[in-house]
Amino acid sequence: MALLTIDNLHVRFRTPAGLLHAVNGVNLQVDRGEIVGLVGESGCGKSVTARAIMRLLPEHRSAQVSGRVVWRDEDLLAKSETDMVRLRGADLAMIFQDPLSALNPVMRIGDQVIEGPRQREKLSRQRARARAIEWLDHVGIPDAAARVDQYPHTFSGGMRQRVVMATALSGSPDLLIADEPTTALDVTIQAQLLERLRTLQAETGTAILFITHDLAVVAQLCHRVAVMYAGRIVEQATVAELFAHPRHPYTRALLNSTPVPGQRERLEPIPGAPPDGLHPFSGCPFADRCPHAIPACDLPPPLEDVTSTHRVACHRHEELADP
Amino acid sequence: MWRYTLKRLGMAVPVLFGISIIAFFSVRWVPGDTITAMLGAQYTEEQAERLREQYGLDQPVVVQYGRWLSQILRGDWGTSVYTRQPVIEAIAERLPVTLQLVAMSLAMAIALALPLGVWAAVRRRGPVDASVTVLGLLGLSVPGFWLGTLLILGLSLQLGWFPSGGFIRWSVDPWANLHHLFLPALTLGGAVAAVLLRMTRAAMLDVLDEEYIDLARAKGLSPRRWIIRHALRNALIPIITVTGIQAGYLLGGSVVIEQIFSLPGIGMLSLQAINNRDYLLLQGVILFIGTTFVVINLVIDLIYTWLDPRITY
Ligand SMILES: Nc1ncnc2c1ncn2[C@@H]1O[C@H](COP(=O)(O)OP(=O)(O)OP(=O)(O)O)[C@@H](O)[C@H]1O
Ligand SMILES: [Mg+2]
Repeated sequence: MALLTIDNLHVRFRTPAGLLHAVNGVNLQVDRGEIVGLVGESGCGKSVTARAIMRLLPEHRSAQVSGRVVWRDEDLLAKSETDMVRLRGADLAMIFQDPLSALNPVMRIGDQVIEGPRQREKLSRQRARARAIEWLDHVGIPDAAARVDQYPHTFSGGMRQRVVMATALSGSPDLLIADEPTTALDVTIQAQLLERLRTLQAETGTAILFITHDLAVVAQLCHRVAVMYAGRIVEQATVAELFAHPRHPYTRALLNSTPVPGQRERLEPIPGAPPDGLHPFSGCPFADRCPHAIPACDLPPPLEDVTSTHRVACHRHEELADP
Repeated sequence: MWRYTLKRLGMAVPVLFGISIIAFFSVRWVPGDTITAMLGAQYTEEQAERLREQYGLDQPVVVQYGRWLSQILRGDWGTSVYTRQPVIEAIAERLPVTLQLVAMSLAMAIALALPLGVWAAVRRRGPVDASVTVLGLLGLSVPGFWLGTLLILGLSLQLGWFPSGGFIRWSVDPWANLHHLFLPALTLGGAVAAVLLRMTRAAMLDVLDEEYIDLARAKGLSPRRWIIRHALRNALIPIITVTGIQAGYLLGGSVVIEQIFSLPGIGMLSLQAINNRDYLLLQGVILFIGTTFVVINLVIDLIYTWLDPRITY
């Protein structure tokens, strides 16, 4: 059953250089309890999509958001800020990329972890503190009882990201949007954190929309994956299908440019750069970097079913399929 | 923390010593001296010489300075040659007026600037933000004496809402006391409000771009909570610095305002002391204000350590 359904989401920003098209018709679904990866190059609109779901974009200033973001039966884009305050933290939570700036430097970490639930349920000081310690313990902070009253600057990057995780999970959300939470960390710390996230996910059943540009992380963590390019989903499938039978030329290029452990193949970077969003176009956004482009690519490719769990937006996906 | 406070107090000693030197020698740059001011237009050189001898003013300046310093160190600020009132008593008598004026200006400036600045930043580039920017510029470019004169002309002489000057002690009549100080405090606080307004807005804008604000909002915190507990709480650190500097500025600015509104405060006392070449009194006042600056700085540094856990001494 779909928990979250994103339907034709568009986000544009008014910028001094003109209208910037950051998200151009994203369709995506997250089911209860599943981990969906959202991958794509820097600037393709992953974070903007996530913020649009949370309604954290500067909508009263520069952002124009259209389409539908259906949470259970209700369109989040039609909600008031007051309604969103009620949903955030308790229904949908989000964590961010930079662990060093994601915590308030002047607030004790325990207070930050339990602040959300404390606003919603009337928790006594001692109860709140005890719950904070529990959560810090859950996410793997050693000696949580001693560290609960400390400030963020005494924590390492990896530990801070764990605190951030506790902050989001303490509200028992049904969906956690994780925007590249491990990108800023070194590989060992990243692996530990992902392991912990997977365990917690299995325990709590929280669905996760995991944003990353790292396909290796997707392979390790996710059930399903959506590949994003220039503000669109170009391919989506189960992790097994996508890695075994990628259909979209961009997905293939992405796979070829990702190191696979144990393999010493030469990596091929993708030539060219993605469109900048300031000059809208109607055809396939990948056409001018695509080795297989044909004149028909000037028309927008529809997102077509390959199997019931695999969809791709490419005019030539059938011809290009592996034999 | 206590060790740091003691260390800071220790560091204040050379600063105060420097201030005492400046206080002592600067008053002697003013043409004329205590004795000639005291004797008026008609006196003989002999009379003047006799008096100078009597008050030790015939001694070399360095000797005079040494005497004054040792006196001060013993806690004796001396007695005004001109009014025969002990210096410390004169200061104590005038201090409450100035302190109240400065405190009221500061309170009014903060009460105006903080909420407006926060509001402007949260609604950045909206109509509130635009008005605040204009208001801030206006407040900065209008000189205090001009604003004061304007307020007196309009609100007191024309409309009769406020007295145009004078002072009534709080202990005598609290309402009249506030009534008399309102316009002077407004005049004095205007420019400070403008500075604080701009600072609050800028500091808030910086903080609002931080990721922990996004996280706070993503937790489902109410706007009041994330704006106050997360954004403003962090923005306060730079705001406090500016407030401290402004408090010092207020002390200086009160000299002019006290004159405009005929308030018997430290500012007026120092102008009298200058007119009378009342060296001891003037030195005392300067040294006192310098000490106040040092204390304000220390207090701000201590507030820092309390506001920002990253600072440890
Ligand atoms: N507030 C904003 N105002 C204007 N443009 C924005 C804003 N936020 C994002 N953008 C633009 O939208 C586009 C998509 O940005 P987004 O942050 O979603 O990329 P991303 O896929 O998350 O990339 P990364 O992997 O680097 O995080 C970029 O061109 C970016 O410059
Ligand atoms: Mg991003």
